Amino acid sequence: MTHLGEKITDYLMGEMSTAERTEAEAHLSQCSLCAGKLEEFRHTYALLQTVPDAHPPRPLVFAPEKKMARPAVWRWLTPAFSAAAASIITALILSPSPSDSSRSVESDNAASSPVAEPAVDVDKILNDFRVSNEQGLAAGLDERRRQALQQAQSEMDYWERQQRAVSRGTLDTARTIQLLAQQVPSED
Amino acid sequence: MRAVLNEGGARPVDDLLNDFQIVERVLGGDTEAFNLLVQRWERPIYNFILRMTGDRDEAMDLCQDSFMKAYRELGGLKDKDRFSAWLYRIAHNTCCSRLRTQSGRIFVEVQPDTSFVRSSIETQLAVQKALQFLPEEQREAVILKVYHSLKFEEIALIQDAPVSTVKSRLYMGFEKLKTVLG
Repeated sequence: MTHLGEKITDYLMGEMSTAERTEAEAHLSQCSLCAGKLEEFRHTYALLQTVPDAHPPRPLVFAPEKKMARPAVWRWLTPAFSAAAASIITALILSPSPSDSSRSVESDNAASSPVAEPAVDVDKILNDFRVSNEQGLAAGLDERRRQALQQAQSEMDYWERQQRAVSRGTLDTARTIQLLAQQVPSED
Repeated sequence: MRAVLNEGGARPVDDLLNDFQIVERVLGGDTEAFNLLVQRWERPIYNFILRMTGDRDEAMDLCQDSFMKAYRELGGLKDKDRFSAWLYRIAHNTCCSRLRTQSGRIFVEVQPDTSFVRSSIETQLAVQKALQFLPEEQREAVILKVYHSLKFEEIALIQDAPVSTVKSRLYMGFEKLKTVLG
């Protein structure tokens, strides 16, 4: 009798032709070894399925420029980056040099508007950016810290249990060795 | 889910357009349409990378890198019908590069403690840890098959390996997971 071997996962995943599947099922009905392994793999598959998909921590949004002759750029829209984009726009508006193709990709989108009025309170804008940036970063850090702590606590609990299991296993082994040693007759 | 930012306001993922049509639009100059592909594939790609690396922050970074690379190289996509497989391949390469820089980790196999009833969160943690115990190729084969329902041929293209090798990796992966998870 030829066992299914690696074909068990083909069968489990439904990747067999009709003829192969019929043949496999005929074998499984007669072979307790393969049937047992299939059940074990089914259990493993079910355990894997208990882990749901996670949501990305922040969305990815591609925000191309308005239709001008400039390459589109990526802008990852977190609160900190929004404030950074505002400060870059301001800095570029106040910059003496005209639009230039040698600018970095990240600042390209900032030059899409014509030059604004000359009287701009740069200090205020920079200060607002600094404050919003710090607040955004602090809020983000708090949340991330909280999540990290929660995750770390769950993992610690898990590993403590594993450690206890290993300790119990080690003690059992030591007892077994002791018992066996007592049973071995002396060679004197 | 954040909507696309454009002058026309928010626009949800358009289920009537398939990947091929969206890719055509992007290559035709509608760069904003790339967001439709991002919205559609962001979560699967993020979860694929998350299960490969086990780290949320790293997964997010690598996910961003993967989409940026996909955008830059979209013009080189030969078969526009297979955007998703191509994107997974990019994500695979991105993961491999990162995991290679982290080589040298020592895996310690611990017999799981089955003397208690696991809560669902502990089961999930155990599964996540068990996946990290697998060699990279086996882990990837298991993830792509179990969580992304890719065909063996598709996984073979992503891993650049024969189908028979992919099947072996999946089988060996299940054998190891069966032992670790009980």
